[in-house]
Amino acid sequence: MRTTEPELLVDQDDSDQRIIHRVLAGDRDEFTVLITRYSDPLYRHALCMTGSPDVAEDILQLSFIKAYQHLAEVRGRFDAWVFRIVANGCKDWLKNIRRSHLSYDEDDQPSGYATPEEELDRTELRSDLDVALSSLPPSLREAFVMKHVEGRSYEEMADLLGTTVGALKMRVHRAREALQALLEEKYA
Amino acid sequence: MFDDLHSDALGESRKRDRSSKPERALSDREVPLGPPSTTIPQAVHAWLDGSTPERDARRGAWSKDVDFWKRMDDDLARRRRMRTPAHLNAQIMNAIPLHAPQVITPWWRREFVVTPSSAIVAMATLAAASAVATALILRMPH
Repeated sequence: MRTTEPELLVDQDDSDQRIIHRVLAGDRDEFTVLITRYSDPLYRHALCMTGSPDVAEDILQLSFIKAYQHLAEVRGRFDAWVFRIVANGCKDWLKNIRRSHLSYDEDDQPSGYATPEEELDRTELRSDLDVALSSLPPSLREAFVMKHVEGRSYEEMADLLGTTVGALKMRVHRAREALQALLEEKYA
Repeated sequence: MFDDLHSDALGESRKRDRSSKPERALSDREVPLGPPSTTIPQAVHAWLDGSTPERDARRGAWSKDVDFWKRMDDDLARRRRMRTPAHLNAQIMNAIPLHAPQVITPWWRREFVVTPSSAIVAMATLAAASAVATALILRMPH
């Protein structure tokens, strides 16, 4: 199975810093560049963590507002800093509101499935995987989503979450085993 | 043997005690209650991590695990393609404050401006503090 390459490129750091300086100097519209650059991976994270597009949108909006208000406090990489704001927003939401499952809207990508039966299978798999993901403890779900949906390396995950590569490998392995235990009867 | 230890009356009452307690939601816990019933071979984990090729993971009875995860990847790939809703970026820009973010400079980096009045107040404070300290020292028993 292939994982995608992280979309957050390290060589964007300088550019991010320049944009931040311009925003701090009063050019508010420059903040759009940062939103456009990082919103997709952050939205995917929030959506997979919460299972709700509405909640994911709210978390993303509040996180970027917070990031704007505290922009002068950014030390180091902006993408890592804003990721932590979003990740904490997701964890806070999970702590405060218990919701087992909320399905999300179809993405804009064209369906690659030829027949209605295949389309039905696809919808069912999506729903089952949503339920299985929502039953994982947040720390396991977070590690699995970062690895398999966001396509991050263990090193990058360790950097973002402030933990060790070994601990994250363990979380991802346990998440896989729990998901397979929940779903293999139907899909193996 | 383990089962025998728990098949007596005491074991049954323990089971009843456990079952009478309300179950906490799984998401409350840092780790799941028990180990998962499935153990994925290390070779399959390594393939999922991208460190070994698929053929290494397909050895023996592990092929079904590979097939399972390839099926899961159909949906995970769709999730990887998900994008922020088109309206959201503009919505965020409309929601952020109109003024520039406040730059908070720590006090030790701030520029101090000494005016005549502040200099007089500082000198008076210093003189008063020195007088108090001197008086205390003179009163100390030798």
